[in-house]
Amino acid sequence: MSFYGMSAVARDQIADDQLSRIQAQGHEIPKQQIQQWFNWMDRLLGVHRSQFVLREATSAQLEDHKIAFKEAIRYCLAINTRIADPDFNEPDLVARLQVRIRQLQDAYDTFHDASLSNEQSEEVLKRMFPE
Amino acid sequence: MNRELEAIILAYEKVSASRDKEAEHNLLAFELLLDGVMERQPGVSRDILRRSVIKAH
Repeated sequence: MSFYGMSAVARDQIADDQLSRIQAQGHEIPKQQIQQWFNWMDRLLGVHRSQFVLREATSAQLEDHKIAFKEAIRYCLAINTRIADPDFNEPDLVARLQVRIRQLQDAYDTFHDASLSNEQSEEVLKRMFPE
Repeated sequence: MNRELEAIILAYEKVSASRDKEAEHNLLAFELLLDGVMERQPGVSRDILRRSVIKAH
């Protein structure tokens, strides 16, 4: 029997099932993409640590670092807008993203926070934690 | 180096070295240490303290 030969009720049921499957995929695909994005961010944070924190980077490398982290933070904030929607209902994913945003921002600020110089930060720590 | 500052920097080191759920746990511990400092020295900006520690790390 063809689709058009079925009763209206049966056709509606098939259409509903298809829509449900597509809706479920619409939820699962972003979750998979976000997991890939998490993996990418973890690699970026790993490079930050191994190549910038534990070694002295050149000014050219620091410029690349600035661009990479700025883009990563911006993209994270865009993703956050999507997944923080209560209808998406993935609080664990939101929490995991928030931690990475914090880590990315801290990594960025380590080298590019122009509002607080190294001298100022050293002075603050000396004042608050006298030896 | 002041021992309390050293402990806070080491706490941030754990944040920096960890990922995902472990990082979430370590981040919470780090923020709690900063809160402890702020309770004793409320006149200081927490944000400036936090950023100073991260730079020192």
